[in-house]
Amino acid sequence: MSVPIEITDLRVAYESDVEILRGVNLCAAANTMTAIIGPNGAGKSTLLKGVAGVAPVTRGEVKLGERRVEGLPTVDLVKAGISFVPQESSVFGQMTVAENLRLGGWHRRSERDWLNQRVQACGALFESIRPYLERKAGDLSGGQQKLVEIARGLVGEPSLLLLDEPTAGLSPVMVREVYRELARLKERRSVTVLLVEQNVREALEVADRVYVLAMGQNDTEGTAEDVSERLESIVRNWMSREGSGVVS
Amino acid sequence: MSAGADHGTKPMMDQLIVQSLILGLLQGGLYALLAVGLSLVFGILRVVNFAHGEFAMLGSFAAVFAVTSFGMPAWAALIAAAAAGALVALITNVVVLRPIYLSRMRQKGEYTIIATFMLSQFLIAATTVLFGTTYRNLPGLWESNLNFFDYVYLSGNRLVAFSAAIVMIGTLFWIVYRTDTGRAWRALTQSPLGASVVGIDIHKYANYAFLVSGAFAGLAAGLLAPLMFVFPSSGVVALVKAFIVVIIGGMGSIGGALAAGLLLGVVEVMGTIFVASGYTDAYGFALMIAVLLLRPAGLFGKMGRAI
Ligand SMILES: Nc1ncnc2c1ncn2[C@@H]1O[C@H](COP(=O)(O)OP(=O)(O)OP(=O)(O)O)[C@@H](O)[C@H]1O
Ligand SMILES: [Mg+2]
Repeated sequence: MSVPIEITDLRVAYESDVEILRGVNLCAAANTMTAIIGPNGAGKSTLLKGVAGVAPVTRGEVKLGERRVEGLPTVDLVKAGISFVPQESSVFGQMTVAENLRLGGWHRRSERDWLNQRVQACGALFESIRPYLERKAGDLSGGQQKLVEIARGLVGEPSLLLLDEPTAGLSPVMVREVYRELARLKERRSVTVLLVEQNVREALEVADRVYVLAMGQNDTEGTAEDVSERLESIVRNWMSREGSGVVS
Repeated sequence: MSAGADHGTKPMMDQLIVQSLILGLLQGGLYALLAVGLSLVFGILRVVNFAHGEFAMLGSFAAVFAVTSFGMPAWAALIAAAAAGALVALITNVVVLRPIYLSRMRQKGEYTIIATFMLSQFLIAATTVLFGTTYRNLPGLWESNLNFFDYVYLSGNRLVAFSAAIVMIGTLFWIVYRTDTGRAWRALTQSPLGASVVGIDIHKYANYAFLVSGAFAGLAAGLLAPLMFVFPSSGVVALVKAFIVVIIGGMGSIGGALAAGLLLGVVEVMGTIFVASGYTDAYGFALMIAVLLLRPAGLFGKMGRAI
């Protein structure tokens, strides 16, 4: 049950009143995969956090299907089908991998059978963590912990999946596992994905559309092929701007 | 504590050690009960609650009034103490703390310290104005002196208080490791961001944590009241004991609070009997300083984060 998402003029400010996201627009049809790229500090993470309710939205609209969801507490956003896998580590280190996965279905924890079956299915998704379901998540390597978080994000059968640099710091083998799963999700057409990536090439291979952010605003956008072709000039454009980082 | 250390014979010495060890453990169980809520709240919200001692103080006042004004039996007074502590704690969270951690200001942690410290001063002043500074007393549940193995003397009240403390802490362990509420608390302790993205309602579970924290503090004070006195600034002593326990046991650790509470009780009693009487409170500080010097993260180190 995947949904389209429409983001209009979204603005986000953290503790101070300085807006980090200064009016971003984004549109993604149901069952599509949208890559979001841009230099360091462009506001990619802030965009996902705003949508996920983890960062305070000061203005703008987020429509999930027909429903306005901006400003709702995270609890309600999760119930509405949004699953966010943040860039920062968010694993429960003292719990086992299986317990971590179980918490991924927190909002439907009363449906025991469904949850057991989801925990089992998601525990089997990635070969790199499959043997360690009973280990403490905090004892796994950084890359394995990331895979636990991604698997945990899938347990609740989300209709909108927000992935923030899921492959940063992963070994090449793990990166392939993640992209294999993303391709599978796309094939099954069960979830809309917003994917923030520094591995631009891999992201462009699975993405339908690409949005480029810079300095808290939309820079450019297009289909994956279109952006692939223009990638060099896009990146050159970032580097010429003051305060922008470089992308791999 | 009737036996003096100056009898000098070896068996007497052993008996004195046993007697003081038991007394220390009994006292320590209450310290643990007093402190465990402070630790729980810190683990879940990263809030250092300086008003925790006043949850205890108001609990003991509720117990006193339940008995003296309403003629309730002693056991009902304990329920009143727990209920009063829980209620004050819940109101503190909703009215004082939630606006701070919902706001967008920086350094929320520092503001919660200032806010809870001010609240503590306010509650002491308000209680003084309303009820005066009289030292009040509370009858216990089991007013008799017991004698075991001919040489161990205990008051029935201490035994009741210790048993209640252990049962309550056991219940808390069960909640933490066997229920959904406990899972939510552990998730919030281990990764606030993770808890938020899986959809755990922090406000709901923070309220539960404050309810437990206040109830335990109130109950601990109600159990201690027959052994001590009840007065408006009694919470200050309670807070100091709770802080020592939490620092020794590691902030956020329930098992650590239990072990550290028992240890503090034993060290205080042993110090009083074998080193010098009259410095009971100082032994706790000495223990805390030793732990801070040798193991700053608490005796239980990394485990401290596990709640
Ligand atoms: N919690 C926060 N409080 C204040 N400012 C923040 C916070 N998080 C991020 N920022 C600021 O917002 C800006 C955008 O950060 P963001 O993390 O969204 O960038 P990004 O595009 O994800 O970068 P990266 O590629 O490095 O992950 C940065 O200038 C950063 O300093
Ligand atoms: Mg980022």
